[in-house]
Amino acid sequence: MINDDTKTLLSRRAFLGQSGIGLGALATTSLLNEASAAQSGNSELPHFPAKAKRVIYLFQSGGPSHIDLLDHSPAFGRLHGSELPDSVRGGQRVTGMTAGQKKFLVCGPVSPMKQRGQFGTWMSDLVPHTADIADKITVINSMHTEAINHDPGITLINTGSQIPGRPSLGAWASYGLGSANADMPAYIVLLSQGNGKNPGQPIFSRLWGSGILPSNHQGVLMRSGKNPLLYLKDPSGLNRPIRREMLDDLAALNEGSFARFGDPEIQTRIAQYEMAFRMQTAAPEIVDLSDEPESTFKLYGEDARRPGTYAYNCLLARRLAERDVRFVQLFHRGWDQHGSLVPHLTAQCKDTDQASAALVTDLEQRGLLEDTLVIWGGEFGRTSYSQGGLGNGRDHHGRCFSIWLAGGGIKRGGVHGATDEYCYNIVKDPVHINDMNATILHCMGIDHERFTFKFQGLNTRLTGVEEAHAVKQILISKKSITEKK
Amino acid sequence: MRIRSTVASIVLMLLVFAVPLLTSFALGEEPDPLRFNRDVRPILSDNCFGCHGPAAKDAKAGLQLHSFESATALLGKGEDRQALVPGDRKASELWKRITSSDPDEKMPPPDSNHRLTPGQIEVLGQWIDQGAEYEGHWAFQALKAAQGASIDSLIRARLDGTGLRSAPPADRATLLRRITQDLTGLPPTPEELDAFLVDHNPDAYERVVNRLLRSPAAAERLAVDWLDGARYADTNGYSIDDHRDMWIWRDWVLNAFLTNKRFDEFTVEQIAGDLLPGATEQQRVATGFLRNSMNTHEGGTIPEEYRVTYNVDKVDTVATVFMGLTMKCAQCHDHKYDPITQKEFYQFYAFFNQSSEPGSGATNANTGPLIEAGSAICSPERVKRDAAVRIAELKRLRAVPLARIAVQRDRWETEQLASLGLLKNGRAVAKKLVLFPQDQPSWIWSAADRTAESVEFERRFNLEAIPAEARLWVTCDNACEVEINGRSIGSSDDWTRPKVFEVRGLKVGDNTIAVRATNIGASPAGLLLSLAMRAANGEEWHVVTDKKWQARLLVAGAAGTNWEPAAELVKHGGGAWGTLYGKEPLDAGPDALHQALGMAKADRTTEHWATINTAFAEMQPAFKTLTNQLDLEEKILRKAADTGRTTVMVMDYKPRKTHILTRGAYDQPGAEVSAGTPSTLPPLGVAGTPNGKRTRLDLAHWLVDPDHPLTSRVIVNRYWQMLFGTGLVKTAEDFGTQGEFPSHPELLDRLAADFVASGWDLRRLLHQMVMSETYCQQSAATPELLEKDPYNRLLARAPRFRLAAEFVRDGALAASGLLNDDLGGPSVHPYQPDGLWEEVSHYGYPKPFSSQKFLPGSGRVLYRRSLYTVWKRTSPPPSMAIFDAPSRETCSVRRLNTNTPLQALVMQNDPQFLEAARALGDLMAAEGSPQNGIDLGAKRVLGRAPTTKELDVLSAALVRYRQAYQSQAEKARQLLASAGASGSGDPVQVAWTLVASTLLNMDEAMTRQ
Repeated sequence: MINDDTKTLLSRRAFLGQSGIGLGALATTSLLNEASAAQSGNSELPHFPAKAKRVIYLFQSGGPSHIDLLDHSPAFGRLHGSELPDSVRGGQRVTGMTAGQKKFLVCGPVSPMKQRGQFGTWMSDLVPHTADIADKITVINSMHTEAINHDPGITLINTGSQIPGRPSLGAWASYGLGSANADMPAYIVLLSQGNGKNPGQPIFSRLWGSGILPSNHQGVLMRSGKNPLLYLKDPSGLNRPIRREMLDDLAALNEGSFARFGDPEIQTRIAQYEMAFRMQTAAPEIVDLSDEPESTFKLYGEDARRPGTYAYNCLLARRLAERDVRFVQLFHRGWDQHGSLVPHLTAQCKDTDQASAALVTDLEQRGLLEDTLVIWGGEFGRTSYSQGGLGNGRDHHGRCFSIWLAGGGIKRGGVHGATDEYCYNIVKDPVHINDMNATILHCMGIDHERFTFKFQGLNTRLTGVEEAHAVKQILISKKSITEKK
Repeated sequence: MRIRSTVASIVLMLLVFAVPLLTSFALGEEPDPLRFNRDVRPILSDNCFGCHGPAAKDAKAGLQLHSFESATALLGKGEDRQALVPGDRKASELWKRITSSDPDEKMPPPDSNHRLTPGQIEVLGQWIDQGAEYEGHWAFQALKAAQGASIDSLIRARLDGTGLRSAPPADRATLLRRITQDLTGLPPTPEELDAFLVDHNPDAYERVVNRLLRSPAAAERLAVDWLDGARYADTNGYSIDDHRDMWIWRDWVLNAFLTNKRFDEFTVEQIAGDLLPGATEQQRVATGFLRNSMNTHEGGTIPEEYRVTYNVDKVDTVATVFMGLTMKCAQCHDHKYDPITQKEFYQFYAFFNQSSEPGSGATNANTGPLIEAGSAICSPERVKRDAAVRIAELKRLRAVPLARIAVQRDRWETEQLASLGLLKNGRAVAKKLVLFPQDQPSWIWSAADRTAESVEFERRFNLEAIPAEARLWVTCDNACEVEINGRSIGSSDDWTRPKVFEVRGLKVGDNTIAVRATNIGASPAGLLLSLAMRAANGEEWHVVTDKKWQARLLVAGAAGTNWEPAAELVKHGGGAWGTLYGKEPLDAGPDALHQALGMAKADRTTEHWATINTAFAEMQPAFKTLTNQLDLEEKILRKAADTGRTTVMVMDYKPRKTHILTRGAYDQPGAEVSAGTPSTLPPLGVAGTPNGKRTRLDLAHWLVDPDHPLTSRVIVNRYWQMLFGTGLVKTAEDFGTQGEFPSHPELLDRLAADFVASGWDLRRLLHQMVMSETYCQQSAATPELLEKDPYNRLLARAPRFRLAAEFVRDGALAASGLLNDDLGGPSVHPYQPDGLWEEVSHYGYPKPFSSQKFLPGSGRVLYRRSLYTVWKRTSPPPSMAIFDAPSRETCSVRRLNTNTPLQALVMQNDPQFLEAARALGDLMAAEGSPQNGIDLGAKRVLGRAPTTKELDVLSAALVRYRQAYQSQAEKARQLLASAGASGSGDPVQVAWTLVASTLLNMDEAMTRQ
């Protein structure tokens, strides 16, 4: 019987051997200590060759309206203003916000939908730039979730469970694959707030937390300004040569402790201080946009010059991807249009559309899209009936919603899954959140069923205990890759 | 082997050697006979029980392997095969399957995630051959206490035959630091160290132990772990995560540890204090333990769904904290591994379901049931004082808002000053703005002819001293020239705003001010003037236009008529300064805003700030949002500030039916159940309520029944974990079949039995552990030890591990002399990077929620112990989260221990640690010589004298840093300012600060060893 600890060590070692970083940087990463905490059931990773070396998740927090953006029903012209039939609602669990409503008036898309690109993908006029990249992305219109409110919804999609405490997707990726950049953490989080609904629904550190995994896998917040990572900046008046001297002294003192105590953790500590020192150079370089040409801001929009905006964060995401940061996740708030649907949704799209599309285009131009998976989507969709009067707003809707994906092994162009004429219930190819997370892991070369962490006696996995499947239909098949070559 | 070839690290080579050692705990040359619980059950549980375990419904092919009876039964009707044939592996179907090479036959199935190693297969084979004996799961069996055995004898018995021996005793300095860190979370003081080093009495160590165990610091240290398990926090959790007040409960915990409350009472009061006969206020407070569950009031919440969730959380917490059971696994289905059915889960759940707690939580407040209560350890006066201090902090934030808003406000101030014309070269001419025309002048003109074209005015006044400053405001409809003592001051032809003049030429004694004013045509005229003067002692005088002035008409080409008193033109132009020019804020010269803006920032009073900020808020939504938040937070504090008491959430008893919830869904009730405990465990006694129903009180007594096999073991194990880094059962959160078998089962039982027999005396338990030679031995790891026992489960050396997040910080505060040792009370707001809460919260929502923006404290509260730091669940204190503190959203009884670059950044750059370095540096500098200073620093941080090498390295650094900053006064000043010191930038102070920071960053500084 192999002790769990040993298995972890072996797999970590396998990772270190493969990652090409060499032992200098990471081999001493708290092997003994961390492993003693991390009982792992995972075997050598990746399980199969990864299509996506890195992931950029553009999380749209609040529940973007699939009806107004991506999911099209020609019947809305006829149904607009009519009462949603009970047969369609079908005893659905509705939130406390519209449960008491007497009328459920169907509201068609607030802006015209048109077919885009050679695949004829339906998209709204609200997202003209996304429409321009229609042939580069796959739209899924058949996403679904059990959650009907933000907290459980956003927790479920990011951690695979509605109940707080589980590791986030990015933490799993960090845990499984480690960092490919010796100077930066594997999982970086960027936050922004849109103009659609300000403030948007709250978000929480658990969405990028490590849950039951060791805490070094938690997402690291990258912030705008001079201190892009918490505590990164040396105090004013302390220059780099002084810091260097201090670290050299510190290493000498710590070596003395090591000689007395023989604890490998001391060597790890020395190595971590060195990595911190490198991060102090690497991270400010990432947020220093002075080397970006004017064309960048033409592509992403002028907002990209303003720290803290969604566009700026999209640009940072590209700069992080260039540096092989494994998992970058943007959390953009403001998609919760219970009211003021038209002005708020318009504002929200204006903040996000150009930069989202620019990121895909930019990655492609730099040859990075092929092995970078980009995901755009929120925690649920919105009702096709109106909250309040006709056209006022839309309530949460978990039975179906839309997301899009690009690069990293995803097919270029096309739509997966379909809903009924009310954009209310899925009629073809449902994709549960856990299926989507399985797909993301799949693109990273991980079989979600074999990627587990033992906690409280259970081999816990991101995709939960129910069956889940990677959506193979949206992946580039081996054959098509061969043809391309 | 492929793997081995890729590795060149000594550490990893050691691990490869370690593999055979760790395959079981049989470390001797001759293996122990197989024991089911230790050797066999883990294999079956890990690989087989998922499909063939106690959950009857899931049993594939009807086979269950968790008991002898089911595993040896015939495999179905008409079958003669048995999974297990005791004594004969070849006849056993299990053996055939696990050794089969046919993928259709092989077990575990190749497409599962489970794979047996050859070693595991052989263990199963031997076990079948030896008779396939089962044991009940060890943790559910009664305690088996070895009489007379000591901790050390049991540890050494386990070492026998491994080739390892206990290490020699640690040196005294190391031991003192270890025991002080372990029991109080603080390092020893240099005085304590010196005293201990010269105390050669045989009982010197024991006296230290006893002193520490009784100290308030020990209560604080013990509370930290309990707060993790109890998921204690200062916010409600979930999405809005507004504030709650549970610190009264936290103080109850502190008091319990401080008074060494019997642990059985400690348990009973927290589970059912409200149901005790004649329950006291504090006994009811204790049940806050259960109410620490998160709650939500997010719009759209379906209350019943969350009411169920809160109760499931209570089940999870009680089961984990007291029994090490993962009961929540049985919420949706029978437990896969442990003998807990779904029905039993809901019977347990029923205890907590009987309360009036609602599903939708209160906003910005505690949710009922709640009581108003006082702290068990803080007087009402102290609580009032703390609340008042916090209110003062909030007021200060209104005056000096956080950086981003402060920048906006400064910009606004500049704009205002510029519009007043009182900005020179981008700087406020603040000094010149000190004087303002405070009195209300009147418009005046000649009484003789109110439409006369030209009028001369005069006013005499007497001065006892020459003013330090004097300024004059004047306007006239339409124009005027002003003279003082015969010298022209200037003229004005702007009748829409006052013109301002500096006034010189005043003298002691009589002075004269004269004005020649001109009107145009027959329209109403008027003069408005104010002369403000201030003496060096701050006294002010004013001369304003009023009836005391003399006026005479000027006739063209000739001297005028006689002097006579001027007439006040009451309605002329709408009045005096304020009303005439009020529409343009800064033209309202005399108003308070104008005056406040003119004050240098350092000189402004609270009233000045209030005036400025109110005006600013009117124009700046961001500041308005802040002031709204401040108002709300202050309002919430009022109660505590007035009464010294606050509310706390507690349990109550309200009968309610409980149903099994199908698949755990709140809206799928199945059969009704009554309160009860799992049948695997001893039966529940029924003291009962008058109507005979089982209540939480019965549950509480059941948990601490001496015959309960779990509670004492689980508690004792966690204290072992606290002192030794790893529990005797490593999986402190799981004593079920999937948990780890104890490294020293006899020791665990011996300690647990003693704990119960002693009357659940926690101090006695800790005393026993820390008095053992095992505890007191050296922690140095030799290559042999690392090779044979890398995780130190055999304890042939003392463990060495990084301190918990709280104690990393507390240690630095103590070492630097900054620590504020106030005990208990409301939570505090020490340093935290700006903006973290806002980034994720509902900050700015029109109807504000509390705790949406971190509002930093100041002064002494910055140095309180870390357990008092305000804990927001959706954004926990960042420097502590980086050191593995949990979010406190759910129960957690074992922290992981990582070693990361972000930790290095916290230690180097967090203002808290910088300030500690500076304060420690100051103490070191005061020692007079580099050697003495470094000696003191090492003692304070490391609890020992420095080594020669350390002394050399740090002395050299001290010289280098001093030289480096000698010619860099500005840099020195900046650095010290970052470290919380004002001053001119003394290079010596900088050098000591950096040397102190180096010490605080040492691995040893954050490690107990």
